Amino acid sequence: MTEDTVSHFEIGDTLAMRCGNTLTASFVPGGSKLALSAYRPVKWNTPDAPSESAGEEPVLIYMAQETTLYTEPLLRSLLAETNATFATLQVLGQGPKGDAKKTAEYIKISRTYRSIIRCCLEKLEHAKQSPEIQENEAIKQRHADAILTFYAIECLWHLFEILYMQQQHNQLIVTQLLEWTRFHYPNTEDAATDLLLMAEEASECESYWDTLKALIMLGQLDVTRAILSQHRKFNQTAFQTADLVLKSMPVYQDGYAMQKFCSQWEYWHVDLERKLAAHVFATEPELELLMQLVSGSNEHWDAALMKSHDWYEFLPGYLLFTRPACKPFELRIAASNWINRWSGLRPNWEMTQLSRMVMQLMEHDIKLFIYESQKLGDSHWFATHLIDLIYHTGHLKSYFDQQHIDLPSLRFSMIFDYGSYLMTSHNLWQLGIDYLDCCKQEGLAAIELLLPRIPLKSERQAFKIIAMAKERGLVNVEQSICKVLSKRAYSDQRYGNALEWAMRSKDVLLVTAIADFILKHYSNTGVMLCPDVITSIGARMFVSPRLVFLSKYFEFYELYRQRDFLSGAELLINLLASKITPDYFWPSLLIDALPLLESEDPKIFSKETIAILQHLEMELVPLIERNKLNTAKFNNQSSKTVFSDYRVENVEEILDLMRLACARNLSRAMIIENTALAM
Amino acid sequence: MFDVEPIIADHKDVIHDVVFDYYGRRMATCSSDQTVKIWDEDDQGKWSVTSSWKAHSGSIWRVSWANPEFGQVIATCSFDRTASVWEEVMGEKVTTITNSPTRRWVRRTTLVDSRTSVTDVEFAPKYLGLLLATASADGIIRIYEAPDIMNLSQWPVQQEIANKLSLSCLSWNTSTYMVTQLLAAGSDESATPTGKVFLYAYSENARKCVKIETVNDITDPVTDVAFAPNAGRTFHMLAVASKDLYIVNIRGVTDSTGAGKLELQTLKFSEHNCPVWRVCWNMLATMLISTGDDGCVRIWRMNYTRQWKCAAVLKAEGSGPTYEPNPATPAALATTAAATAKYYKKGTIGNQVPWH
Repeated sequence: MTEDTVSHFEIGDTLAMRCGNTLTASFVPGGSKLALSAYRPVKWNTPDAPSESAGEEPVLIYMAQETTLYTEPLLRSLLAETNATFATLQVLGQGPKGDAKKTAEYIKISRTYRSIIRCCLEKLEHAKQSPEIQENEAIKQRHADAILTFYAIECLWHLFEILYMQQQHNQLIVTQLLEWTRFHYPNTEDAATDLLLMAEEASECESYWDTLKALIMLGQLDVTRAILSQHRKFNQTAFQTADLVLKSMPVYQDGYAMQKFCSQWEYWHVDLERKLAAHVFATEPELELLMQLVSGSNEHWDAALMKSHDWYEFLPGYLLFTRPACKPFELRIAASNWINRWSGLRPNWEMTQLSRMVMQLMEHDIKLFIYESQKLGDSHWFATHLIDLIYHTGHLKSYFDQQHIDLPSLRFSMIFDYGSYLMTSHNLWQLGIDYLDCCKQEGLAAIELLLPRIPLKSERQAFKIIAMAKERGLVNVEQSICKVLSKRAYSDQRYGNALEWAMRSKDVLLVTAIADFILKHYSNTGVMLCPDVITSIGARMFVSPRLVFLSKYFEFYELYRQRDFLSGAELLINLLASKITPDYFWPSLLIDALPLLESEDPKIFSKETIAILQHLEMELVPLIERNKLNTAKFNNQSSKTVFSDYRVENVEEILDLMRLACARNLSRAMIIENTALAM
Repeated sequence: MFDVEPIIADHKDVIHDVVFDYYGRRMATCSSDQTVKIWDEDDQGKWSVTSSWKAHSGSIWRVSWANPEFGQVIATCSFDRTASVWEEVMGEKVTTITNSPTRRWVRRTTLVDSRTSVTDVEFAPKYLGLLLATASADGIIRIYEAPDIMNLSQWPVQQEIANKLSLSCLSWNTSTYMVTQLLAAGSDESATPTGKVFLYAYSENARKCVKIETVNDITDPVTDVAFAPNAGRTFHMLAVASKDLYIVNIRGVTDSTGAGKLELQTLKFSEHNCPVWRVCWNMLATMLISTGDDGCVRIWRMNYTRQWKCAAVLKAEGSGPTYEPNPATPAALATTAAATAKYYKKGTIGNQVPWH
């Protein structure tokens, strides 16, 4: 918005200050962190020599993180609740903007936001008083900062609601403003309650008249009257007149005719001035002072202003007694006049951020207000939610058009930033997704980029993230997470888990690789890894042919162990014929056939035996030949298939054994089969 | 406001590259002292060295992390004309304290094809497979591929692309939104006045890289290039560190003959008023960091009107480790450089930055 001011930050790093060095930084993925360090420029012809400062200065890396209030759990619940309100608002906001019927709903939403903040503030205050927090300086400070920030936010939001979110246009605002100041300066009310309780003795109290003056300036006429009525001298004329004056002051109610109200008020005001001029209250100087304030006498107000805490504290009160029919646009002028008066009385006054923002709101300087609201230290919570509300209500549309501000883009940008900020914050990513969902394609693309970056601390969390990805149709993210977890399990030697995740990812290469590993491991050691996972593969085996093979081979392995040789043999034959046998596994598969071939009681029939022989000659032998050829050409040829089986030293031995076994089995089988036929 | 925590790096010389893994919880640093250090962040946010070893016989210029789908793998490149690939494995010993197996990094392969200093190394986006590109000072780009993702000792050269100018940096495009996969390389040659940023198209099917475009707008020596991650844009952004900071917007268009070509738009940012050495994007490409020769780091931000503006400047200033405006408690780090303690003092700087 104001383009010329760029924030400057400094880091003292002696190495970076050295001649020839400078400072560099990079973003840390997964958070709003930067890593800074000293940097020495490198070119293609930079010589390789230690730099002059080697060993002299400590080499440091600085991790810089934007401070956030949200490490505090209470505030996180605030974020979660306001997230829900935000979602409600989005649903409500569908349809044309600026729909007058919905204004009441929008005001309700605004109030909901505020009540959530107030609730949170109460909890924070309460927590701050607890002994554990009192002991811990850092946390106490954090609480204090949070309370300060959100108190200011609620105050400003309330004022914004009064001035810019009205049911009817040009509604009178003085009563609401009075309510606003009363809420934010409760001390006077507390003092007043004390006075009321003290009844008659109250007038002895030192702070009696000061409290009454403050009450008047805050426009609390009823309480003032109540306290005055307990004064000892109440029956005197001065007091009676005062009471009458206060009682008869016209107060605007909804539905009154404006003209009538104004003339009544004028009449009352003139009457009061006359009474003052006639020294009706001369007997009680303090009371007279009070009446002067009620009549809006500038001189007296200036004197009393010195007691106020901030410039806007008594402005609504002043308006009550001088311009009770003040409208929002009139407030602007009144506010700037008032500030001039106030700063005139206090030449050394410096505006705090909160005062400045109140001023901007009252003077209708929304652009600056929004700019300032981004400096509040709440990670743009306030600015984002407020702009979203403004966008939906459509009230300030003409203002933004005039100022050449593209409100929809601004809102989009703020929600996008806020959503991505949440997504990259520890544990807040689920809230962030809701905000990014409002950002259409860019939001979805951002979710797609950010979801996989959430560190996978547990399987439960991984499942949650996968569910989120599934909801939005982000297949790539799902697959990516499964692959990462599979690889992680594999590196940790948890092969069953690795296989599970690989199957979930449906990635053929990965599944094949893990299945290969399991099969190779079996052929090397005879140990079948993760049998329980393999049994439960089921229909998922079709992801990869290798997995089908593994699954079927495992079936055979189980059948064999249970000594169900006939079914095992059948399965084995099928496997041999299936064409999905990996090259390196042929020896093992054939060796498995050996005991079945050698058994007295033939398990394998003649046709199958011939098939086995065929496989032997057609598959294994050529493979062995090819290996030999390759090794002859290039000694360290790595693409040769490694044959090994835990049952034999040298694979070539089995060739003859197999041929012999096949022949013997063939003979046995043929005899039995042909004999049966002959009979 | 920034909370700043310094970490004592224990390197004997200037760090040339600080690179984070995919999740931002592991960090690799490399230096002129020929060592690589791997750091891990624990749950409390403290960083500590988990591995440190002498990786090369010359200054190590850059480090790159592979996608975690391939495991814990990094690549380093060095002045000693080699690039290496390292993988973290589980050791056999069980440490008595944590009762978990030790982890250590082993060299999987050394790529010795280059005749000159290897200036940059970067893993390709994961959907291309396990691919690595290196850029050398003699201008040759080499692309290596590991055909077996379970066995990282095999990295045959897939392609060598020669360039007339020496190269100082390269960057892979990571988005899947455009059909042509792009690789950018920059040259810091100062003699010739030609374009210094080259764009190559990598075809997944043909597994070949072809030079398709030179960015002629940038003729000063280029020291760093970086493609922005693509979060839903219809065009690519390439940040270039040269005499000034440049951002090149690249669109794929089909011209009148129906052939695809690239349309380039170069934006220049001269706020640094000095050479820019490095550029770094954040995850959503909403912010860019540029390192200037003037000791300043500038953070750029795209505001809601889609214009890039400098939003913050970080300077290396001051005579000691103080942080504006509240100097924090005296530094514990001023002690010996040999200190093995890596623990931190907090400082804060500045006010919150309004981005819009």
